[in-house]
Amino acid sequence: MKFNKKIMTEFLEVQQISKLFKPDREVEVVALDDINLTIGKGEFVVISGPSGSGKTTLLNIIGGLDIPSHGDIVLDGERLTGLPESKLSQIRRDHIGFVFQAYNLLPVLTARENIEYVMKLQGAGKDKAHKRSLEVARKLSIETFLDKLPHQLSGGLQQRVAVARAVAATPKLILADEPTANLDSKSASSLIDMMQKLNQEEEVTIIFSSHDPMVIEKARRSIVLKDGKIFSNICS
Amino acid sequence: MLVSVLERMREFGIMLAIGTAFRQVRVIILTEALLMGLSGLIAGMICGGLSLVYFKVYGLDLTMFSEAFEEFGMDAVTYAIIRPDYFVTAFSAVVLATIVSIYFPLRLLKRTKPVTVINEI
Repeated sequence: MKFNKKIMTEFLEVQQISKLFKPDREVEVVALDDINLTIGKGEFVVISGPSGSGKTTLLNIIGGLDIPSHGDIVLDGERLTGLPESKLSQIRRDHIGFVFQAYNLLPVLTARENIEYVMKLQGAGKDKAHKRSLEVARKLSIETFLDKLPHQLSGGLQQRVAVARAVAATPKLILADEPTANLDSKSASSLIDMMQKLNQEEEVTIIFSSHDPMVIEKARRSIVLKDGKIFSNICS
Repeated sequence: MLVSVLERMREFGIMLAIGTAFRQVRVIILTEALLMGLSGLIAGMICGGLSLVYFKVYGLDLTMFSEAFEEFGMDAVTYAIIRPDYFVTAFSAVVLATIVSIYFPLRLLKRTKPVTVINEI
């Protein structure tokens, strides 16, 4: 199989993805059951559903952080399924930005260093990384906190730094797993507004998961998962 | 060293998840481990070396036990001998301990998915 062969597809295709877990090696748990999705370039999509519906598993599989039991993921014409971890790591570095529920900033680096981290992995020079981190920080209104360490920032600010880290490296796709789960409603609303703005200004596709109705209604497309299956897929 | 690496597994998981190659993480861990080990070695060599020099010059006075020493035909004051192989052995032990201490965490990192490392380890 030639993994890197470009094929004509939508920006992101989730093809018959299933994920089975065997937590105690006897009982099989179906986390995702035959999921089919296509997502176009520049879309702002929310995946919602109750806890255990498979939102995080789906995002992890789309981002190459987990391997499906069956099916394929095709990102911008490149099939991710079956790629070795070294290649997946390269794709994550160059094309996918991640925002995690628990922020997951590197604790020993300042906000600026966290934002510049992926850019530096990509080989960006100091000046270029510095300029870009400041540009993104301004868009997220965190330019005055760039020299602080993560533990010196509130949850809302840490999550904005995490979004800045994901955006700064100019990925094709940003995956955000419950980015507002640990935030109060005002910070959550503000974060989603900022992500929406970045989605338009940076022309980056954003897929995020949430079960907060206030956050869900801000997305242009809402995919609801239930028991590992797509329950509804609505564009507003 | 092992504890230090294990405490930071989540951090390494984050690095892997956002696109750091495993070989880069391996270099970071190895470099940190060697730097920690060598810092300890240098501090130990300075303290141990100064102690050895002191006892080489002034000796260790055990005259209160002189009768017992004399029974074995030994002097009550003993002087240290400084041999280069003490330091070579210590250096080798540090390098070996470093490699052993990072081998298992690195193996765990390589075999485990980054999200599992972040959330469960």
